[in-house]
Amino acid sequence: MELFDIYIIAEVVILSAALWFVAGYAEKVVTQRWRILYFLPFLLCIFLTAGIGFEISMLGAYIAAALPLAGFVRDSKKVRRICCIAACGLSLTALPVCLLNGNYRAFDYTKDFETGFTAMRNRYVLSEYKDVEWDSLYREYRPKFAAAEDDIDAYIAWSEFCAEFHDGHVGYVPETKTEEEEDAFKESVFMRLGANDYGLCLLTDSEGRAAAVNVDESLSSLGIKNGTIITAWDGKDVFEAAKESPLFRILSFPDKDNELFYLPACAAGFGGESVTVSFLDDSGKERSAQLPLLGGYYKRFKSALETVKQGYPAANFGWEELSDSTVLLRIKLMSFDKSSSRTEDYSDMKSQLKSVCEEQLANGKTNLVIDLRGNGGGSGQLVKALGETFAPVGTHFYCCDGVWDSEEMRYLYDEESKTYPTSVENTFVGEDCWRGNQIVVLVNSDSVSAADHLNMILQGKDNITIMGFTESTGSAQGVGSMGLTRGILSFSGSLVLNRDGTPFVDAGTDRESGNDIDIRVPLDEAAITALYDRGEDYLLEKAMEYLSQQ
Amino acid sequence: MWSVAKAQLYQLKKDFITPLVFFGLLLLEAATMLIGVLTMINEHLQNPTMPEPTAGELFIIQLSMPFFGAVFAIVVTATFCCSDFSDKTLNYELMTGHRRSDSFFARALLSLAFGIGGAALLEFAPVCVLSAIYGWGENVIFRDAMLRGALVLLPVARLICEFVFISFLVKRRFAVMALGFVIIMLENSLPLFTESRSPLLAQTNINLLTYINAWSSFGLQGNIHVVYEAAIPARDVLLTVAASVGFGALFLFLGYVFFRHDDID
Repeated sequence: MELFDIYIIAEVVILSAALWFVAGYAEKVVTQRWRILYFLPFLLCIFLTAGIGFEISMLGAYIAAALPLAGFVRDSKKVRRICCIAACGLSLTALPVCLLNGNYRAFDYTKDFETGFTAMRNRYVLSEYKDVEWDSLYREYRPKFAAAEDDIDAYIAWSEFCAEFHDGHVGYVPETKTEEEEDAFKESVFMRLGANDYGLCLLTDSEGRAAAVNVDESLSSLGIKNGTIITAWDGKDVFEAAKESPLFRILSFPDKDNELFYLPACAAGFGGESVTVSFLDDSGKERSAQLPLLGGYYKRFKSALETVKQGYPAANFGWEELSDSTVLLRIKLMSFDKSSSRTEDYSDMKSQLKSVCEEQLANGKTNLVIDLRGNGGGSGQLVKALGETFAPVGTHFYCCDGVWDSEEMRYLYDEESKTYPTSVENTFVGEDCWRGNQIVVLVNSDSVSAADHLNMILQGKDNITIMGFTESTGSAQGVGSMGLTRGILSFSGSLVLNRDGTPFVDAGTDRESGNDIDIRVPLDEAAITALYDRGEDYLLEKAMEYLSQQ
Repeated sequence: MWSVAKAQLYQLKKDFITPLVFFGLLLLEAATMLIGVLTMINEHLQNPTMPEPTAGELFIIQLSMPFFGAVFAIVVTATFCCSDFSDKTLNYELMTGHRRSDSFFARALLSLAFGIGGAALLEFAPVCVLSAIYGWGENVIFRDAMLRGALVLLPVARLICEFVFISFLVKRRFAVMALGFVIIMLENSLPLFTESRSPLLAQTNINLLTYINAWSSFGLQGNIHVVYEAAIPARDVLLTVAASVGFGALFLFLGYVFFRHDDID
């Protein structure tokens, strides 16, 4: 029981008992100031209830707190004593009612949903482009929130709701304080979904097959190791099984190519006490094996994805020498320092980058790797400054802003042409600080938002190559967030457009993002063993290999 | 009752504390608004994409600080309801045949009229000035903001009723003022412990009415558009009206019951 509710019940009982005695004394004295005391239980109850909120199971205690008010109105010992006894008894009835009521102080998750849903319906900028059917979403998801019994249920409902948008900016983050708490929460989510660990995770390899990764040593006796091709999961095609798994419904990938890459990972956690898998052995023959249940799937899933998504372990905007001819610039976040974030003036950052480039070039470095893997985005102005620093000399198109309708308080959309009218055309002037030498930009499916922007404005330039196992996220609209009672909901709230009025980078109903990848590094056996057996940064090695061949 | 009210109005003319408090609060409010304007201008100068000040946005910011109106309402109530206890005017009033109900409700009604009027002036006057300078702006719908502003006066009215009750208990003007300050501070401190925006207390009801979601949209070169979702849910309006009328009536009733039986020395 909530402490404040116990206080309310206790104060009513204690004060009523005390007022029972006061009734006898008050009768004997002339002054009527004693009657003020009969107001106290009610006053305290109101104050405490305002703090904790109304609860129907406490109704007995609330009425009990009001009963002594009769002693305030009627100057009668009998009335006062009857009211005090009634208040004591009635208040105590709230105790079992609260303890027995399963819905006692149950959080109403539909309220949070209504708030978030209404805000998104009013402010989500890609509604028309993505053909969002708000009414049907509401009909489908409101009952899920109404049925949610705890934060885990609500998180699953939010995740499924957010995944419907296929937009990397639409997401719900629960209220957790530390990374450990967040991990523990997600582990509980996986358990609630019934995700089990059978000793392996799966990813789509370069030939479109499901390859085992992050394989537990215990499976080696069965002939399954990192890179083994799994042909069936629990008697079903792996990709079909993945689409049926509850995990698939809570994961969101804007671009369908990226979704396909991770899709088999959703299958690998589902089955009973054991699961039967079919796989190709070293000789290429199909075999079957029964995998026992090892525990919860979350940790294996997480570490499998972290390995394939790894970035270079350096500080944000840190420079690292990779070889005599190659340096790496790590950009984890599109944020440089507090001062530039406040003023959105990145001229100092640009000067610093320019001088480091000059220094590196003077030291004989001719190749640059810009590592954007896992870049969570940030400032568009910073991206513009990076574009100016590394793009070839000349004027380049960045993006267009939308047209803001001040009366309707939203962006204009042209129903006929199915595009958004554009306003300011944003360009930038490239200064080519790397003097035309080779640049490889590394991306992954977590390079989102402003990282998507940088991908977009650097792609197609002669000396710049975009490389990755997957494309970047493919979500580049301006993001906004709103605090809900139990978490934070974020979604695309500011429009960023191409010249033709289509959204910049973001995928529409075709789920093809505007970002391209020049070299899609194949996730083949060599890649899987390098990543999962030897713990190497295979993508970076491939980038170095590519640069050395130029 | 009207003769009692007229006598109170006459007394108010001679009172210098109430207008002093009113103009002092108006000055404080103006200073607060000025700080808001200067902050917005400074942000705009540092980053030109940030919006320039508008009366609408400043009104929303000011709405979240209805402290001044509440303080004035308490000062007025304490003045009307307590002043005549100390100099025995109330005793003579009753001895000359005025009914207790007339004495009580005349003071209560005057407290309500002047308290609400003063609070409304403190709330809306600075906005009128700012509207003349900067214009209302486009980031908050005028009708929605005004409705919220008007609704804030309901918990202020309820606060006045509470202090009519307290005034007739305490009977000392400055003690009531001090108690009022303490109570406002206590109620204001509740959000530090809970995220309460309950209509059960006047101050938390005000928090409920002045909690407004803001949403900002931005372009790479274009200005930042801050949109305030000032439309108020019907449920909040109903709760506010019900709580204000219910508690207001209850406190007036209890105050009258006490005064009716009170032994005035």
